[in-house]
Amino acid sequence: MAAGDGTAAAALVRRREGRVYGIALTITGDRAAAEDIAQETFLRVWRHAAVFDAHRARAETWISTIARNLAVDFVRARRTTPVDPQDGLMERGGPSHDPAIEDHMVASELVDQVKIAVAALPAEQRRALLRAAYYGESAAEVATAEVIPLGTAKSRIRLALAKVRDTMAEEKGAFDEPDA
Amino acid sequence: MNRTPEGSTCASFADDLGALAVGALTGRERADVLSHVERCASCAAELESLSTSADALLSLYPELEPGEGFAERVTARIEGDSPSRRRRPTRSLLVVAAAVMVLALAGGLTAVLAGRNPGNQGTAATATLQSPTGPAGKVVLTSGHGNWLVMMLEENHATGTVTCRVTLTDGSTRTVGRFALHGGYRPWTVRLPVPPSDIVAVTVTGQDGNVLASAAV
Repeated sequence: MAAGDGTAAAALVRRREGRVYGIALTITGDRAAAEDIAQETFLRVWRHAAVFDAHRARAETWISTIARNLAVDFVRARRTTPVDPQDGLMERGGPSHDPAIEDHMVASELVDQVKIAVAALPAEQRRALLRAAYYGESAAEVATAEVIPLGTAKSRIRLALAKVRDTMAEEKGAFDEPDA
Repeated sequence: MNRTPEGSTCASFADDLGALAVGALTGRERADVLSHVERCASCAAELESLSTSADALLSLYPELEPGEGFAERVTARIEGDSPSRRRRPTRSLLVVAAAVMVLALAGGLTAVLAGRNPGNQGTAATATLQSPTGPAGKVVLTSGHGNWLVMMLEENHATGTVTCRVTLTDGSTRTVGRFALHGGYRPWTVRLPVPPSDIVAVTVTGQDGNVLASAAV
């Protein structure tokens, strides 16, 4: 992507806007904020495209990470005044209040390796991972919401991530094996 | 197994690596883990591996349609964002943008933009944060649907976690929040425990308690 190329910018935005806006809206639950965050994401991508290292990350991952970080910053700033985490989750349709989101990811077409890996997790690890990785909650917020010690929350997140990694590796290995 | 100067070992950071990979650590905790990872090759490798899984989870987010004309609005912003415009003037624009965002959240935007005295329905005050070396940012107070403070602090005036306090008309002070400075120049918002009319000053202090910047409201 060449900086200053308006046509390239428009093409980039149209190709990625759905995922970027989806990330922002999922985390914030606020359409106006999501639009602002999505715009800011593309502005930052455009400004920093020259320093993006394609050898270290896929462009889609890089762009999604920017959107996620901006959205998480937004909700954490909004949460600075202590609130009942359950209230926050209700506003944002978190995993404990909106099983449809888990259904969307887990029960729908399990053709994607990531979905298979997440679906295979024990329920308590899946909740901890989704709260942190998907909804942008801090480990402390996960602990509060799940009513578990902070160390247990971190342990569940780490174990879940490691299992996702291992399951994806197994799935990949299975797909790589030649047919008998 | 690597041991930090404080005596912590890799085992004590093992669970933190997962939380770090998904961005679930904040403040001092995050800094401590990063400090260990910088010195420990095995933990750095494990973090890299877990981060790959965390990155894969990004594909779980749904693709949703933004409002009509979104691409055009973004393209217009990009085309108006030439490098020459991006330095000092843009910072001022960011201050305004941040203030507008928070005012909109607080429901006082219409009244403020119209220049009316909104009475109990919404008031706003803007003040410049002053550091020992000069202007360091802006602070905006607003009321309406809740009382809000938005701050833009130039981050070359501080690093790490800072504390924001307000001084009230009765001379007492209250801590309203803490936030981490990550580099750049970004807005920080917090809901105020008191109406803006009760506030006479806003102060930002560093981790050592020194005043980094303050504003008389």
